[in-house]
Amino acid sequence: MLKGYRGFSREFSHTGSLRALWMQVRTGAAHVVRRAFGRDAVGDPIERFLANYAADGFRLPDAESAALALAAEACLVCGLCSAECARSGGAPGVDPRDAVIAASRMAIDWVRLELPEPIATPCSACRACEAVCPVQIPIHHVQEWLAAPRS
Amino acid sequence: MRAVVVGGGLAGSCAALELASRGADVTLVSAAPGATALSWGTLDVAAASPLRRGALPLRDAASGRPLAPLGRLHAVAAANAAHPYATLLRARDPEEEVKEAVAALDAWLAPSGLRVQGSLAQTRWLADVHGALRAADLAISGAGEGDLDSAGEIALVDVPGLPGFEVRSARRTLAAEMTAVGLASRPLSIVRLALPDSLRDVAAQPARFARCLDTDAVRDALQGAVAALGAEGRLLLFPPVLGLEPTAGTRAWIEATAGCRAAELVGAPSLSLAGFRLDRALAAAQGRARVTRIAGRVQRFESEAVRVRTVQLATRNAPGQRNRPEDSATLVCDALVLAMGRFVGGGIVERDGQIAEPLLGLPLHDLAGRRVDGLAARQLVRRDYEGEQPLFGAGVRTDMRLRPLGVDGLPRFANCFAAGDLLGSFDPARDRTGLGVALLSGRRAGIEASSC
Repeated sequence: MLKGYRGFSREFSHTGSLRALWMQVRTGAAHVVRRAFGRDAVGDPIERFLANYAADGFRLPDAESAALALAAEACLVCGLCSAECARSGGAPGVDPRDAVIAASRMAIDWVRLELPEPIATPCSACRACEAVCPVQIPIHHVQEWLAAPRS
Repeated sequence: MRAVVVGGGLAGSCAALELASRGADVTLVSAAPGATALSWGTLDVAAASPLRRGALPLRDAASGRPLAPLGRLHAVAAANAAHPYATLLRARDPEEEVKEAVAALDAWLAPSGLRVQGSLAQTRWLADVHGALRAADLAISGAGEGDLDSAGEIALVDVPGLPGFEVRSARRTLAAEMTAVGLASRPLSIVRLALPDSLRDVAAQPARFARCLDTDAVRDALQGAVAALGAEGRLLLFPPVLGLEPTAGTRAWIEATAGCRAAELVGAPSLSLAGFRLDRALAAAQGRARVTRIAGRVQRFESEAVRVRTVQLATRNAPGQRNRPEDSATLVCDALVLAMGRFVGGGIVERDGQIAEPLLGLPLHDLAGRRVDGLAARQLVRRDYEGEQPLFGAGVRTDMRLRPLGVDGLPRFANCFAAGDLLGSFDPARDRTGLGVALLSGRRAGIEASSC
């Protein structure tokens, strides 16, 4: 179930909180123990997992988020968007490249990262960043999505 | 005469500029900035790497004398008969060919304030952001002025708050590497650029910081701090953030203010702007030469007997209009130059588990001359970090006029040419000939195409 989850140490170092450590124990040890001693569960395993762990912040990304994160994963980390953004005078709170990296990471981890406050600062929406992206990531869309308030 | 060049990196740009200078009506189709925009400011014809295994020799084995770039170019061509250099230089005087190409590039870049620095008689020592030495044949302005050999005293400039640049570690490494090649007599120090508070936060975003350095307001605020860095006979080595616009002359302003030489370190701790500036200067040169630039991808072509007649392209949506179907356009071409690069640019793609050249379906060969199209990329990599990787040498083969060959070993079309990394049988990273091949083959493809 958790085969794809690789973000514990990253999130731990990123947020500086014990939350990641707790989730590691809960999903990596407690969950396994409960499965070993519990009754044979019925129903879809993914749904049962989400029902159990939604309170901890685990959730399946919605279709839009998943699509954006998938696009963001193509990022080469080349930095052309950052340079073009600075050149054309856009003023996003977070560097476009950092936004793309954050978006790709969020999908892998399933867990909502704590993002810095200035990410919601609007830029001039010129989309110059998108025009130079070698892998055509919808960078401005990704930034808007990161800045949007979510439940 | 109408020519279409596919690919906007150094090879495509040189081909387009050369065609335009010979009176052709040139359209350059580019999907996005490519490897040239991501380059680090050095331009190696055939650079040696002194401290790495499997690198080109620094010295001639028989006489023990240092090999100049041109000497190594011959060594590269002699060692691999299918190398683009061997193909290009078979019937020409290599020295003339290289000199003309470098002079042409210098002339194209000069109006934007960039120059090609260095000589083909001697390799120069530059330092990268980690303090490692790089032997570079030529370098574009920025890194190009950082020749360690000619410096009296060297000072690494620490910019507080700039991510990824560890100045003390760079100094340690540089001191050790300079000792290894006999440059140790030069004093090596660290100086700190005193940033005003208003610029501290900006330095966390290197591109934005570079942009600030281009403006008069920030230069006024930094006047005193930059002047304090200077000393008689000193070479100031900055992280590669000295300006976004090549025309702004930020490096020259620092030299004038500090009263000593200033250059950038090679490489990218977080972001090197050297390639970005080079890309902008090449685009500006194309604007002056009246080359039409279209953002898009060539998808299909039509041929008539042995000539390509038209190409159809999907033009890239304007930013923000992603969901609109792409527009298509048809360009009539008397000559077609392919310079889409390799994997990043889309000159070679892996589709359904098979690598292929997507436009003309040309056969691909690896370094050893083996046909590799139709194989999966993973079949062409080996678990040997420093060893040769067949995948990285994959590309098309051409005749002496740079016309790509078909499966029968004959030129596929009479008016189609290939240049840059799309050419196979060399690994630009390994033999350190990357932009050199792009420059020489791009310009030569332009010359050949102009006679179509």
